[in-house]
Amino acid sequence: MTKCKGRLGTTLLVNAAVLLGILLHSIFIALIGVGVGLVFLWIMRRRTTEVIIDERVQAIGDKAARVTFTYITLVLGLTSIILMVLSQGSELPFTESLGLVFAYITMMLLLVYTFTYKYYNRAYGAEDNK
Amino acid sequence: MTNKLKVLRAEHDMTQEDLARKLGVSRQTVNAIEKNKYLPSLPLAFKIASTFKARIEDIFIGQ
Repeated sequence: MTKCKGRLGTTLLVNAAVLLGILLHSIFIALIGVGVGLVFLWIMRRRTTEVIIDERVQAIGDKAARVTFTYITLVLGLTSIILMVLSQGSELPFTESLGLVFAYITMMLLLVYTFTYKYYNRAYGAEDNK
Repeated sequence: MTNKLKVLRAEHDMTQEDLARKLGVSRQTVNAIEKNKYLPSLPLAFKIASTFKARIEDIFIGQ
């Protein structure tokens, strides 16, 4: 079994356990499934000698995270504006509340981005010339 | 930017797997560098240069 298939199998096992836990109203089944999945991943990692994560994988992750952040923030922000505009004179319940929640989430994402950007900017020597 | 990684690897009779193990990266990364799909970081470029006992500018050619 390859590592990729192993990870896929573990993900499916955990998903199945969580689904079964929800269907049977038992948190223990879900927790056991997650626990078994974690142990399996830990064993797989210990047995692996090949390099899986290197600078290329990290660069790909960085780009994927940036694209995800950009699109999620944009979609959430626009949806919040649309929902708040539609809520004016609309009979639909919770439209304005949902718009507000989306707006707050967008602001929180931008706030976290700003702080992490400032932190890493300083960590990578932006203030060294002063 | 092009590079002579594939030529050097062949000259040293190394597989992508061998080189990857020496550099501490994955085989896919070596393959991506050879095909000019990924530019290595400066530390990795130095590591490649020292593996083949060559200068960075002899391996990586800017255009």
